[in-house]
Amino acid sequence: MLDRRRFTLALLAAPFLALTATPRRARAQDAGRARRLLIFSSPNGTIHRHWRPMGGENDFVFPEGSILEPLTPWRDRLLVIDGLNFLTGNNHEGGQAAMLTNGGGAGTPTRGASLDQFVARRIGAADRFASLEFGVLTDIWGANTQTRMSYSEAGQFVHPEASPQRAFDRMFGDLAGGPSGAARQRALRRSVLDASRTDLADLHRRVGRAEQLKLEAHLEALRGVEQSLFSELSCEAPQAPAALDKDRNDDFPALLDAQTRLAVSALACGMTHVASVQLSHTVSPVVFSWVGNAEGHHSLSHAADEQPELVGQFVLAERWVAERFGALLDLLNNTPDPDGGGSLLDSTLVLWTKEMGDSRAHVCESVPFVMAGAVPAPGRYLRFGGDSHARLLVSVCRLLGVDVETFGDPTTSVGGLAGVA
Amino acid sequence: MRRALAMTLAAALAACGADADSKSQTRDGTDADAGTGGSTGGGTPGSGGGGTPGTGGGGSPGTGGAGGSAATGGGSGGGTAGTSGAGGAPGCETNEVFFETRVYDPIMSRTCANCHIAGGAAGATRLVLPPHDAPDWIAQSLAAMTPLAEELVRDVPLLVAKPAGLHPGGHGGGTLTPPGSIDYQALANLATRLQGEDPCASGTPVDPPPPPDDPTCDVEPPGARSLRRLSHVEYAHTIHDLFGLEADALAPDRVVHGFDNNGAALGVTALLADQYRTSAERLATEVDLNRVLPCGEHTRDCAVSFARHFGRKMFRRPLTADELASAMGIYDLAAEDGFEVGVRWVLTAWLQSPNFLYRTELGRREGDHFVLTPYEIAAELSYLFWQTTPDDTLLDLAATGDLLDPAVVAREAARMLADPRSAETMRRFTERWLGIDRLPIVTRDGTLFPALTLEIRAAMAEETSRFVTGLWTGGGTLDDLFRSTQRPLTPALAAYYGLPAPAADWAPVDVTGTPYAGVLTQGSVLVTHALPTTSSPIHRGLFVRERLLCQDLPDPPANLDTSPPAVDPSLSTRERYVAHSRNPACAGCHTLIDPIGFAFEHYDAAGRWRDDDGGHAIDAQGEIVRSPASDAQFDGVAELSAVLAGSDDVRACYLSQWVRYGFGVDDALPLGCYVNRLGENFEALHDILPALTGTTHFRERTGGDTELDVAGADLVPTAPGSAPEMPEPEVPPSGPPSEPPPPPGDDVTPGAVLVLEEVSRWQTGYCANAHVDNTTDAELQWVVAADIEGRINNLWNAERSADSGRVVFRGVQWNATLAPGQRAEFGYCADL
Repeated sequence: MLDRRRFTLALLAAPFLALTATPRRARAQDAGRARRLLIFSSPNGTIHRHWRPMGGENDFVFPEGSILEPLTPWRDRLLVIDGLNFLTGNNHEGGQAAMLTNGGGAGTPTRGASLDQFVARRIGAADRFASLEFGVLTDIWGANTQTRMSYSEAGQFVHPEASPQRAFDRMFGDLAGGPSGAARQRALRRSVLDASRTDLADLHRRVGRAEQLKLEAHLEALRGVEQSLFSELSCEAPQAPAALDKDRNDDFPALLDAQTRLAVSALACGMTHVASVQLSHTVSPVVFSWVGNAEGHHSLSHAADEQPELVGQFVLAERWVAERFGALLDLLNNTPDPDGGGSLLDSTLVLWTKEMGDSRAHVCESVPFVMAGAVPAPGRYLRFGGDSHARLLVSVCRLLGVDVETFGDPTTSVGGLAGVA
Repeated sequence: MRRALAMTLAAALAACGADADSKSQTRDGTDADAGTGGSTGGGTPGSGGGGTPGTGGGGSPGTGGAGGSAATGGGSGGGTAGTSGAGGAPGCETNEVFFETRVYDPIMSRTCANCHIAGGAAGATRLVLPPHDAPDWIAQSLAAMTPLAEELVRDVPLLVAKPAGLHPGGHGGGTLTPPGSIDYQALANLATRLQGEDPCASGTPVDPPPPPDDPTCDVEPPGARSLRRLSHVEYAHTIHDLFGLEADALAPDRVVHGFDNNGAALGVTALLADQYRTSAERLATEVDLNRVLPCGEHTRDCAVSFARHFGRKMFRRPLTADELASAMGIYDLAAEDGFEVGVRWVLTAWLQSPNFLYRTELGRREGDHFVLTPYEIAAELSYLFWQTTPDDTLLDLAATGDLLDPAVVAREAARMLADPRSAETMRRFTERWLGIDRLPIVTRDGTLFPALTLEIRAAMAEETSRFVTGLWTGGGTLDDLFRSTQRPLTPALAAYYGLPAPAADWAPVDVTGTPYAGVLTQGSVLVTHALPTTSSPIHRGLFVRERLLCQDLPDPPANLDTSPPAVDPSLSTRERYVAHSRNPACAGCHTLIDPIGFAFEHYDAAGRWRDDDGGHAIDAQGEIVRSPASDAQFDGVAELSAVLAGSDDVRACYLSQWVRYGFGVDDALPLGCYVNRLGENFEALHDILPALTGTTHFRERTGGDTELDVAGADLVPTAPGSAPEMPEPEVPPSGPPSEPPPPPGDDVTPGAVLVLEEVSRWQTGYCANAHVDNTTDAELQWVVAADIEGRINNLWNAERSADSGRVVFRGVQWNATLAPGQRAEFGYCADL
């Protein structure tokens, strides 16, 4: 009865998608402007002297052996940003929570939402998915402040999907392509959703405020379900990801690859304008065995300078992450913008975030950021002197056409990053 | 008692260089931010303390209300009460600024101000807040709250105790600011300020008052009414029992104190809602209809009978007339493609209904509190003992009302305890309590520990499972848990440990005379609490301190170099850690942690005994200090286990952990009170479950004056044996689908009067409540309209024609029709 998924396992020349819809021409004033946001996060801070580029704002280079060296081919598409502090959270857990929120309780302008969710609500409200969150080994500790980075509002996690297969099914599995039965199925699904909402509202009037909040969040979730069910999809499904164990340490590279491809597919398909790929989480226990690490990433991140062997292992792991970030940029660069006019990279603001600065000190000072793609005057190394990273969050919003003055706790700073937006 | 420790620790930690990583790594997924999951605060760090002086209150004064017929407008009205105290310490906030920016805007505007206003649901309580647009609303608010800050309830200001769920009389609005949450701290800070200590004058930051000592009590107070979304384990068991099918895996839930069934933390996100939907469609497609149909003929009458009978299993109570009508509406729509299709779509709908996904613990009003219905008690029993949906026996006892008789509850508790499924509950509890659910995935260096194969890990998990379930069914005690010399092993696992082989797989091996007695020497515990290449005194010490003694340590401060001691072949593990913690800044914490962990030094990271540590002699002497009833010195795990087995702290902790797990609460109940009560009937490990059923929380709840009975409360007995008089709800007749009433046009209904009232506002949004009165002499279906400021992002109890501009609202199924004089209420929030 339920129209089961209908996949088109097309063998495509392009690695991802054949776009069946006629591309919509990008409006002239949109040219070069960021219309999509893709967040890439990796944990456990950094070691600055192995991370920092050498040189000035415009003539910088990535030193040989340094963490960012694998990004050398992309140097001219990047903004490398140094010297921003989190003023609303410190240490592993505090940093993870502040990274995309800058604090912000219910009473602040952002109401505790994370950058991706705040933006999604404004630029992606009409999409099949307001946002999509892809995780890589993000389930193994369950959900808590250390393992989550996206918040719909203060204290409310937006969970990443850690299984590429399930993410794929969610994105493409219900392609309501069947012309005949689909309308009927839609009507039935809608009546089911309506029944759920009626039941929710009936419960709502019976219970106290704390429980009502729970039900209101559930109602909001159903709105998302409805949107993903009933909006049109303008592309065929790419090949389904291979079967992987979403919790298996050594599948990490394959999982990251699959999730990255799905995130790019989602953007290429126009099913969302906001996506994130989250690599593990703070205090990550993942062992980067594929680069020869034997210790967990978190343990290595705290290796002291007197332990050059362990520091070397950490740098090796971080270089691998940088290389994967480069691969993501490559993928975006080779995927056409569904609205026409260039590649996805041209219209996507890509942000690589971390939750701490110097991991050995457990502080969120000089937290390293890299922006790429649709950014103003790329090819710059920007150094700030301890400004609030709220400025970066504000700039990202502005670049995406969301005009704000503050982000998160409004007392930390007002305005964006000088020289960015 | 535990609180006292927390205080000393807080002091000790002022400059403590705890090994933050190990600390985090041990707690990591297992405790999250305890006590959040409520409305605000949550995981995002608060902006507490410090900060720049208030830059003026949020809100653009008088930015126009919500418009509409009789809307009361007004932003947050000129409430900006100055920036910093005149002559105060630099950066110090005045009470006014603190209240507005740290308490009112982030917390009270959203939670308290909905009810604690004149004419509001809590308008008759001692806290009535002034209108937000009153010129001196801040001063008025502070004046109203000061007496409540000065009045202490068990040493906690009334103002703090009520919303924190610490008041013996409960709080009508439920637990909104649980102890330990950021919001709790902010309120506590405010209370301290209102008690007369001016922080700006003294220049010292205001610390929150200590959390209350666990109160002693004659009758343990029940908690607030609640909705508990099924945990994923409960969902899977329920699906299995109802459908005979395996459930899909679902996005992991928030973990609180190691447990993933905390009611306040379990909600439904968009991802989960989508997973429930996919799951529902698959299950409804695959289920064998013979399981769910009470009749053979494929007729509408059979469908009605199915809706009644299987509906009761799905909702764990009889369906109301509205719910039956809704089910049959979906049936009629889908059955155009045949009877089976109709039934399957009804199942699809039920599987996504909140009445299935949430267990209600709401009850029926009786005097000043609520009494859970017999159906709710059936579900409590079933999920508590078996982690699954009630069986027919329980549902039938609910139908007769017999479960309202404590003797019947006790009898059923005994029946359920004797079933192997209760032992499975113990296994599951132990796994989360001891944090050993991670055994399969903790990373270990394969070159150092090649024998620790996946098979051995699986056997270790099975060993602990068989060990604790054996104790459970055999009447074992806490002493047995820590000191039993019987160990169920396979030959392979026995060989791994170097123990004599068992007679058969999982036959017990007597380990008397070996260092392998008790749960703390089992591979599951030792491997989980260690590092990839080495043992970890810090992980193991913290495990004992937090999980077994229930003495949570605060997070280590940032800004300290907390690099773990480097592996150094010239030193033993103990020597490395001792040197590492010699720094006085670190010692404060580590004297509480490491000396316990040192007792484990004879066990390596792979869970086996070792005579030496890489050639270094092992010193396994350790001690517990500053614990209320467990301070002791010991040499090795055997002696440590003996201390723990006899410790009142451990006993109280075991009971507390069960309160958290069994009731799905964190610290919303006064644990000390419950521990005292539960301890009256606690000898064997398994005594805990029947004891939990004897508490007031199992039968009663607190709730606000305006809260309504659980749905269908009129369909269930209010006393044992009163079932026959229960009415059976009508089902709509066959025929065309019961369409909802034709939607009225967009013309506003004459005589339906709308009043909009803004309840909170911030820089980029606001929320408003609305009500519609039928001022005519006839019944009407209301349609009202208003010019809406901003863009509506959430609406409840009404439908809207648009998100912004002129918006037409009409009622939803249950409130669309108003009798003369009747009122419908709805609300919305909007982005500006």
